[in-house]
Amino acid sequence: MTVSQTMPPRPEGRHRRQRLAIRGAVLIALLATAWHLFASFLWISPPTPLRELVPGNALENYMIPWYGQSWSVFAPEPINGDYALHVRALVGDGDGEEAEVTEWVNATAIEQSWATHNLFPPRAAGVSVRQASKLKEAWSDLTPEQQKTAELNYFKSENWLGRMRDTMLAQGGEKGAVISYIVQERYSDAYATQVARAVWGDDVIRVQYEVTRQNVIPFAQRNDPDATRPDVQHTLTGWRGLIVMPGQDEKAFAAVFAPAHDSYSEDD
Amino acid sequence: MIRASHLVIIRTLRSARDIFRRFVAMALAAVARIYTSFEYWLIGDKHARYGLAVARILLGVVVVGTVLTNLPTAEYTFGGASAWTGQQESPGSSFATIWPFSVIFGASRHSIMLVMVLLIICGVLFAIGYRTRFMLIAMFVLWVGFLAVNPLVQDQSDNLTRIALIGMFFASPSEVWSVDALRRRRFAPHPGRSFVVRWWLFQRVLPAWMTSLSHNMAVIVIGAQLCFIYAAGGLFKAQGAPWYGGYAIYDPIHTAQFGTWPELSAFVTGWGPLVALATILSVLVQVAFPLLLLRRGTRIFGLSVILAFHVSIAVLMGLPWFSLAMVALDAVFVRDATFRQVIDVIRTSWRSAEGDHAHLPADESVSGTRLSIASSATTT
Repeated sequence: MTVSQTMPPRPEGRHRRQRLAIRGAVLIALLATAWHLFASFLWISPPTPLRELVPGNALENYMIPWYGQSWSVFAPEPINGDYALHVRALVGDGDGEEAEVTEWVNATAIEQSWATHNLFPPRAAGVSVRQASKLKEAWSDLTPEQQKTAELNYFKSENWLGRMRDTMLAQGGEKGAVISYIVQERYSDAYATQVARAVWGDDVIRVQYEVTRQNVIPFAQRNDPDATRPDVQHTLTGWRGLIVMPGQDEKAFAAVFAPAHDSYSEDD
Repeated sequence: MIRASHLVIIRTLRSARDIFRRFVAMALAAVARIYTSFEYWLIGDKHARYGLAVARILLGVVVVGTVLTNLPTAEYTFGGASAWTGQQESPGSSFATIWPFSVIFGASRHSIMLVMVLLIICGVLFAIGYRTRFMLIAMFVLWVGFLAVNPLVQDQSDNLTRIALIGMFFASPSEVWSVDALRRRRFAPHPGRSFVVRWWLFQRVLPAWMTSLSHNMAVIVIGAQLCFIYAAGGLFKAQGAPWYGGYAIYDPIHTAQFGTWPELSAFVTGWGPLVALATILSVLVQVAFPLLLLRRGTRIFGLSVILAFHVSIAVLMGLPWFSLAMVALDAVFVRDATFRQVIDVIRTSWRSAEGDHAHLPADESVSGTRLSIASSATTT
């Protein structure tokens, strides 16, 4: 293909002034694009001293929120295990005389049953697995002493979450880590409360949840018929009171979760 | 003797100065020539018109597909049933507090179905290219507001579609294969007088160089964005042990979250060399992506490998819409000439198929049309 074929005709413009205006517009567009590409390059690639070329917070101010992104997906090491959020409950008989502890329910596996063998999985399948990994992450940032506190039961009176927070704060460590953990406990509890009521009804008195993590069979053993998955790691948390977040539509939650739970239990 | 050597020195110096001047002039002329031809590239024809049309159509499909996929569980993931995530109380996404996305974010609590129906309508109209720029804005507001509702289920493709739609706003993604293009052709014989009428009838209101400049800059930005994503993604992977150990693709597709077809995952990872080849290729092709684009041969190779990977990710990892968004944007790297060639082949075979039908009993005419397909295919 020759140059003359690809090259469009010269821009029309009898006057020199118009030609200058076009050249000016092109230059401005080039500068703006150059800045955008440079900023994107700095933001997407790993942080290097090149970022010092941009003064102050200019880079972040330009990129966030419109161009916020992170492409270290499945890197440096892709995920090699399953997180799951398990829930069980103490359920009353309705008269307030007797109460029973239920079996554990793997809420994450129930959600994931919407995705397995489905070419178009709904995002609902990934809700609690993400919540589980967030709770586990926040838990990992606690000191061993604070993790012991998380194992204890907290459900008496309305302010049980506040009491747990105060106990953890008194145990030292980083304040931010405690606050993050308490926030994740709150959301996890609000989720567990919904799961418990969807499965066992309105007589749920309190709940317990735990995050498990189990790695896949290592690559080297994949063709060994006797290979089993590595042991399950538990992140134990004690019994908790119930939390219902403002605006929570409990019926809508149960309408989606309960049928999935029923068909999942039947498959087992 | 002394005089003679003097003269030689003076002559050498003069000559050196002259050579230097000429080289500078040559360099300046070359730079000026490169700049002007780049300027022509920017303000002349619009580039990647078909590629952007494909991107538009497929991104519309991504939006509609995502909504349809999530419709039965919409309340659970994005509606009032998801209040336990605490997002309505203290939103994690910046867009939740930015108008007009905040309107969609707020509406999700009680009217998530309305948001989703509007998204389907805008997505379909955007895909078919009806009043494309207007639909793009409406769809963008709905889409970004919708995705801000539950950050627990966001992934990087949500960032990609948002960034790509911003880029497409500056481009003309409805130049071809769109309702707008049909209407532009239909109204062409009746030029409107006023600015508004002309705009409504898809007639030129801005000088061609201006719209071309904006369009071609957008093509550069979208193309560069993809190059950055692939190259950075490859480099981030290269530092991980499972990637240079050649088995990284095994791990995620054996988890429940990213292995939606466990039997298929086991089947495709059974033979080690295949796992290693796929792992190595995905790192190398990602890192080398910008360079592979430079030549036609390597570009076809690079885009084919990337396409194969996205098909695998779509099926094996249960991420069809993520993959389709990437594929949609990869289309900008296919030249208009290639798309026209494809159209020609389809058109010719469509016409000849009609010919076959009309003259079915006559063997001669059938072979005649076949010949014409063959000859037209070789000339394009």
